[in-house]
Amino acid sequence: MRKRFAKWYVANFKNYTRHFNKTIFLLLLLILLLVVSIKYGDVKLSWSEIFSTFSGEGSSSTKFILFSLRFPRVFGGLLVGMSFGIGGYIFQKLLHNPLANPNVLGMTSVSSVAAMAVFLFFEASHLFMSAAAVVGSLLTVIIAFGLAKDGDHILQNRFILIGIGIQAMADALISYMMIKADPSDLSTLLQWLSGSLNQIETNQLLVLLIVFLIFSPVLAFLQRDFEQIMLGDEIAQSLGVDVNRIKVILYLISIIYTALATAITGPIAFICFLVGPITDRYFGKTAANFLPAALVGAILVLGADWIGQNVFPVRLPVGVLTGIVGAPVLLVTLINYAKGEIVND
Amino acid sequence: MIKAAQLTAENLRIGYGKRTVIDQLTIQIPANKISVLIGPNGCGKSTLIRALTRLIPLKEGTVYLNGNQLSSYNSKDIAKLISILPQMLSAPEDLTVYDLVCRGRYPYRSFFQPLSAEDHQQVEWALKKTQMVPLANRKVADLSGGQRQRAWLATILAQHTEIVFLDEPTTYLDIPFQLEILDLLKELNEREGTTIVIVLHELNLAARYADYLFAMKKGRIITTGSASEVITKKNLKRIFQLESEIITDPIYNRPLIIPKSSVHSERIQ
Repeated sequence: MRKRFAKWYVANFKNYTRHFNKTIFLLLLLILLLVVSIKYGDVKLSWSEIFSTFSGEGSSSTKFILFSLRFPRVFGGLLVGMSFGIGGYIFQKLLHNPLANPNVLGMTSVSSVAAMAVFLFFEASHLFMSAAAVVGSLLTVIIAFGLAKDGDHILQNRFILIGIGIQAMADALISYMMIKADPSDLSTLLQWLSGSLNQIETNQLLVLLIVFLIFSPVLAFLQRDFEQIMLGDEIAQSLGVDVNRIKVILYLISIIYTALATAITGPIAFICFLVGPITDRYFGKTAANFLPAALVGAILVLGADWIGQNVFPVRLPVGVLTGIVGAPVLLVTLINYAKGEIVND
Repeated sequence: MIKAAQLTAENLRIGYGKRTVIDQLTIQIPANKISVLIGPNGCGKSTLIRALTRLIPLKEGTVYLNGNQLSSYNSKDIAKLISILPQMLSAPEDLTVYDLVCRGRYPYRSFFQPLSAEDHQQVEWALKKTQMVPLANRKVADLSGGQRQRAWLATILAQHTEIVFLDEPTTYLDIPFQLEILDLLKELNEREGTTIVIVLHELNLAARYADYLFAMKKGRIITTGSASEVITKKNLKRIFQLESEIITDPIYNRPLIIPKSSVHSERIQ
């Protein structure tokens, strides 16, 4: 009897170690990507050049490359990727469905419309664009939940279909605004719309950083409640979780993360969608893997961006790369969903 | 008799959206007893126990726990007194049985507190009771239907509450497993004085295990009482439109229903 439970303790300890090792591996991969993105680009910088620039001695051209081009791009990509990662993961897990994510539900599209509208028509500041993106995303979720509600129950398939409908409308509005836009704004807009790390604004990034510092401890506190909710809403409630309150907080966190990230880089195609299945496959489905999801998001964004910038004869925005990877995965997921292989509760 | 939490409800109106399923219902759950809710499909049995355990909101009326309104308790405090095993549960595939049962200790743990020695003890006790010890390290996804149901039951037992609700816990199980689960609940009731409320479809099992029966139809409680008071030819006709003969079970001394098929009853008449 005792022996058997001792075996369990060992198994559990092994699980934790395995989980820890995998997280460290992702972290190392991310650091490698950061270093590569800073060191290699159109101009390859040597270590001595980088260090001398840090100590204030480098040439003005390396200073420009590092401080104006590469650092904002790399740290922007890191923060945005982590935000998309956590935002997507929370949505997919709370709705117990990989299709329920900010990309498919049209949240990122509406965020884009809102941010674009204030940029084009009010010539508003970048911070105002961030705020508009959050409001747009929030409205999308409220409307989709409202329309999918049947009594006290959310009909999940209806929710997803409504989200797809909202996305189509948002895309139509985007096309309309493109036609109406001043030709001088067009190239910026086009780049932004395909998801790009080219025009990262430091003040927007600062807002996202502050949000990170606030939300990370909140998520740590909610981790256990989130894991209970992964068992199912009813059983979580009966085990003593304030399911509705916790869900509202988590949805808000997810919405704010993805909307702020969208306001910075534009909608990076499929990024939120890809994070959940990858994290699940690598870490299993038992725990609240917020940190791994953030790491996966950042690795995807930085990896896709570096490849898009350096591998092809033309520079491709990060969203084009994630789109190429994401579309087939979405197709497979849809087919499995239709076959009923995805448990939908 | 061991003291147990008292659960009563007055003038409940419960429903989904605009639809009202139950109206003007008042019920007192007999403490330290096994109560069984019976009634045809869609009569509101599940709805009632879901409302009594705050899984769905009330439209009107009040549920009282130990004389205080249930809504005045916080969620974790309720979860230390009342547990419910809902229908149709799906655990994350990779979770082991031991981990699942540990989730039952949630109400006793604060934010970052790891499982205490007492938590592990309760989990081991629950696993032993449900004969899940040999399967403790297995993944829930690899279990058979009956084993999975027992794993969930162990989770609820680890919650260690004074009142346990179960919504059709024996559905989809073979008869030996059905008996095993009901025997386990009976033992829990006798040894620990736990108040148990079960929704059951199997009328003969309901008659055998219930100290107290509630018969429901169309959102109302039609009749209540001991098995021999509730399980009568007249009542079965009224509640289920079922023609039957009732005999006394020679072993357990409870009413035993012999349902007549419609073809058969025509032939008799």
